[in-house]
Amino acid sequence: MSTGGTTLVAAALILGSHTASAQDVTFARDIAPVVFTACASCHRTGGPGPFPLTTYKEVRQRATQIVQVTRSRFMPPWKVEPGVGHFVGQHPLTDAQLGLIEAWSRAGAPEGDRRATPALPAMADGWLLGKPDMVVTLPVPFTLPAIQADAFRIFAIPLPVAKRIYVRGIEFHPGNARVVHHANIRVDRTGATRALDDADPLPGYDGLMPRSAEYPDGHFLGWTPGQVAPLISADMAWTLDPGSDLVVQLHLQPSGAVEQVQPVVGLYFGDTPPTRTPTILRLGSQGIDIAAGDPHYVIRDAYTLPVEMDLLAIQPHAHYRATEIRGLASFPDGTSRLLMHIKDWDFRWQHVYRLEEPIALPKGTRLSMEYTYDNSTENIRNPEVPPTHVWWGQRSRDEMGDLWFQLLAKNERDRLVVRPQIDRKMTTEDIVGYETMLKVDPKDAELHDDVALLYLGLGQAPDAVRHFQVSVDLRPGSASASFNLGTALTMAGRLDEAIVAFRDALARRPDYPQAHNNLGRVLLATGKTDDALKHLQEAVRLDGTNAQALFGLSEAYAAIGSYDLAVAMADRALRLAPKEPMASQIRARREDYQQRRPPGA
Amino acid sequence: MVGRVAIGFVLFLGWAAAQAVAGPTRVLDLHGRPVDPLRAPVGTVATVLVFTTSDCPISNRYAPEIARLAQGFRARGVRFFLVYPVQGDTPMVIRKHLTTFAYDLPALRDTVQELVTLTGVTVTPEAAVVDARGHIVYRGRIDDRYVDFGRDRPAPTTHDLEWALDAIVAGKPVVVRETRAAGCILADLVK
Repeated sequence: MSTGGTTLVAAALILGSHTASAQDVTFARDIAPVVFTACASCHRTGGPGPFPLTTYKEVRQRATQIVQVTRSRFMPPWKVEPGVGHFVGQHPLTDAQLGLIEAWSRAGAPEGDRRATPALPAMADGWLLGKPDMVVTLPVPFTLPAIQADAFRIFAIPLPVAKRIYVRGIEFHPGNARVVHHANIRVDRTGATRALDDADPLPGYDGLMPRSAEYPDGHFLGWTPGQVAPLISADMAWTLDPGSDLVVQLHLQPSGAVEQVQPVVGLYFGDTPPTRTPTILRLGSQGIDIAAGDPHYVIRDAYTLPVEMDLLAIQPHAHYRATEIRGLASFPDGTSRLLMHIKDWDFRWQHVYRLEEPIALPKGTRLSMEYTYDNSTENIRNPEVPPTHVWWGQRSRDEMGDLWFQLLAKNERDRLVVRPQIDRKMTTEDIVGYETMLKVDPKDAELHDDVALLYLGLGQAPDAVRHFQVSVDLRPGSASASFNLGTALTMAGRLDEAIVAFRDALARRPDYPQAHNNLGRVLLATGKTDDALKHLQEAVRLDGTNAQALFGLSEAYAAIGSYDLAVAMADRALRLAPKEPMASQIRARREDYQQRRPPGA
Repeated sequence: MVGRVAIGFVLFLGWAAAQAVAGPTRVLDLHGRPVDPLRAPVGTVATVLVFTTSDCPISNRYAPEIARLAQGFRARGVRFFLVYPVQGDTPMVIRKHLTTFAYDLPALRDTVQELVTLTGVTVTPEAAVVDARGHIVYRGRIDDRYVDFGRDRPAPTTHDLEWALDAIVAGKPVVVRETRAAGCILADLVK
């Protein structure tokens, strides 16, 4: 819309006088039914819309604006191209409805016969999904100052459950709909997000979500205005264990005034453990590397399903430079189906698109994505003017490009086929992301450590060694850096170098139980039994609750022929109830040592 | 010389408001007393009318920026008024609005839209700047952050109102005298 506001108003007046007699569109008969169903659920007192649209006067006072925002399809907010999918909560206006609103506005927005106005549909206030089983909120509100730029804030909200619970859904209430534009929601079972939240004296923190903040058991969580995800059936519920936190990242759009923000989340529980678990596939590129001013940059990714699956939901994610988003399913019979298409991507409308009916994806279906970016000044959402080079990264000034699919396998056997493949694919891409961030920050030791751990997870020990070595060079004197390097060298089979690294770690921190333990294990493996025994004894002396160290010491005693002591240490280790498969290993060895004990003992 | 060319260009586009405007008679302060904001005390370099409505989200999001500009130019002889052209913005509603958005500015009620007509503004927020001779020397947006509903920049790239005021206090002609503001449409609101 490039015409001036003045021109528009003038045009409306002229057309109004011209068509008023030809058209007989009235609020009561034609407009209220549309506005009351498509707009008023948010645009009502207490709703997330900025002003109410519940009476003739309220609607008349926004008539021209309503014409503009419906014609541009800014409202009702639904970014997906018409005709792509049937999603939960989708209320697009038809072309006929758009025409009706336009004709009515042109005609001067007449009310018509007031008695014909339909009643406003009953709007459930409070909990739309019913009374929650648990309600959590921030202990104190976060104060958003009257700033101009959008803000992001992450909160860790404890979920106080005493035992394992099965969750069928959540309902998010923004607390202050004027400023909460959307919420990304995850579950952190490790406490890592809470530690970051606690480190900031104010409620929440500004930064990144740790990797441990995840979608639980293959379920998307999140909130955009006007959307409530329906409860899932109890057989697909996700598991909530004691000690977990709900991680809520708010995208805040300041109102101009100082605002208090205190979101409230209701949780709904099921009675029985789930029997089906969805799998989340993330397609995308973490190698994004866009030159300043580049008006057309494209990323692509794809994955072919090894088993048949049902597609339940889709969530696209990208930042400010993304312009067009596509997701496609190419079926083995040669046909294809557009699953997602957004032509004017807006970072602020990050819906989870849940399909009304699952889409069946036969084995061999290729899921693919293609995102387009504009890093020139033509893209008005570009946060950098003049544009700057942009790389992949999670901060809003960086760029991302993910298309998430929620998929459901037909049975547990199929899920166990697809899940490791997908995990491996996503970890491989995560590594690309770290390598991209390291191009920007090559001296960030933490990034080197994180990516090295991912490499270890994929069994690529030589790559892990490379990064841990850089980390040691960046942090000379750090015992933990040398320890990490030693561990990766051990996994790479470079035992002599590993011994040097562990000795370095111990030179810097002599009371480092894990370093004594690992050094002892490597010495044992290389036949240096006496030295091994010394370090494993020290590891156990420093930390008597480490089953692994006790097991190592047991083996060291066995290696020098002290089977009595070996059995005693194995028993101590078993009393700590170690996890499988270690527990079985210890039991098997203990049996063996027991046999070898001298007669009469 | 450059300035004159610019003025000529704008006039050619059909906007001839760089004439001294006759003062309004039915603009009221919050006590119901008539006020003519265009009659400026001696020493006033320019008067800025910022049109707003209490429930326009875009307008409200500009509150910190409007406050910043008013504060910054106060000592340089520039007066700011908030102008409320909508009937429903009663003195009570306006007082609450001023408090909520921490405005430290005089507020005017223009419920018969005299100032709207005089200045030609069409949306809120929109600004009109009147110089010491009573000529409208700028009308339009505060900056280019909002392009349209649902289309806005993370940060503005032009500061049109500020640049106009910088020129005026420096005694220079205003280069860009008219811009298109995006916001809540007054034609509907004042019906």
